[in-house]
Amino acid sequence: MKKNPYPGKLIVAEGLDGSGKSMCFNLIKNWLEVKGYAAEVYKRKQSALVAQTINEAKLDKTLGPITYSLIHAADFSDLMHRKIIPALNAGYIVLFNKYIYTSIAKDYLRGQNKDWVLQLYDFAIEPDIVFYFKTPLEMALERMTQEEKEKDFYESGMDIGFGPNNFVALRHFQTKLLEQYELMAKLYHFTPLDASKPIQHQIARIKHILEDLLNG
Amino acid sequence: MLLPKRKRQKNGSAEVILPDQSRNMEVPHPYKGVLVAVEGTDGSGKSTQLHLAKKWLESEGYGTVLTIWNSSALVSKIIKKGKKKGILDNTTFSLLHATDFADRLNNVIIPALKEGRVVLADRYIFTALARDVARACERKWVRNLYSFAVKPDRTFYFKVPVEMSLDRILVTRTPNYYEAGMDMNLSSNLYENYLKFQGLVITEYDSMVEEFNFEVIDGTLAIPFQQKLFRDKIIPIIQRKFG
Repeated sequence: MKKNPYPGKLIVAEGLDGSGKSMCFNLIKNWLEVKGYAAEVYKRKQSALVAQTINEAKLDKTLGPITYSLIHAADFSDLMHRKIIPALNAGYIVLFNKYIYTSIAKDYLRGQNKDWVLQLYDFAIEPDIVFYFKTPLEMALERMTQEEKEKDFYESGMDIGFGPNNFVALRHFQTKLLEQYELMAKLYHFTPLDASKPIQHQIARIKHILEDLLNG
Repeated sequence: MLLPKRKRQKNGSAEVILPDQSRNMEVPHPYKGVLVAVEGTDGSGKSTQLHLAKKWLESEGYGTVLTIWNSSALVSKIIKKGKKKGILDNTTFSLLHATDFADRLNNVIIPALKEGRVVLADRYIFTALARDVARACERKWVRNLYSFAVKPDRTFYFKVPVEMSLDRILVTRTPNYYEAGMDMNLSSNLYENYLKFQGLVITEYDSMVEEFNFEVIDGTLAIPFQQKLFRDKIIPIIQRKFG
């Protein structure tokens, strides 16, 4: 992965679903704009070219694990080259919700060789800061199961046999995912945030760190 | 779809044991069938030769499956759309082709090999290795990307000079934007650009002959003569597998 050579900043949020990442980033975007910075929030599967195909194929349940990894990498690459790099180049603060670390962890749990996945995503740009929204498993699971949209066949890891039904598979898959986040947090020097606390705490902490980054 | 083996545990969850596919290209495949791949530039005559070999194999009683590069139902449409609009960057282009290949590998090639058929691949991963590198993707990155592919029993490389490749295409059509490598901006003239870009592709193919043990067939020879050479090389592979 190469360091960010552009005038803009790349800020990333990682952590289990239901840890409050998107809400925080939306609030931070507003705060940055009030301060006079151009900011944009991005997440995976926004690439017009590929996202629709992924969704259709998921419904058909015909994606093999490697195909699943590759089509997500293609989607990410399209977003990276057509949106993120131009935005960074124009001096934007890019807030990216779930960057390559989530993909790497999920692909690994889907049985891909770790070196293979790391090399696959080597074209990505290294973020300036990665915030890790640390949540206890039970709290995240509770929030995930309260969501209106149920996790699908792939999101719960059912396609690769993580459990006999969505509920069991989801718990098992998310447990493993949490382990991977913890490992990566150390390895890649994520900035941890205690996501079990009220959102105001996290916002204050993020603002503080971003102020240092933008003024420094 | 290939489902992994799993072991049921007391609490009802399953321990997932998945095969590591990232070393596949280094070892012979474990399936009953035979995988024959043909490579070469457009206009090298490889599709014609493969078609003739297919007829012959079928007349000998073998079940065959033909699989063509960039043809999976899943992504070939996106690739075509992206090409048309001219909005694909090299990395995305490369990843979409890899996705297309992975989908065909899973849903066409491996199932046919398991059934003991002769799978005839009109272009295989070497097309991507040659083209993507000619398009300035990193050699190491592309080789890693395709390391999950099933290793062919034999790969045939139909070699023709780049000028002949262009002449043969021009008989029926004009090379399209990406075939000509116009995205590379090597020349403002389509034909000149084709010659330069496909020249780079040929250099990559040539460098893979030893690395992947290609069987080189001189694509400038007469069609029936090439076909005889091709069949003579296929016979021992078939005999080894089917006895």
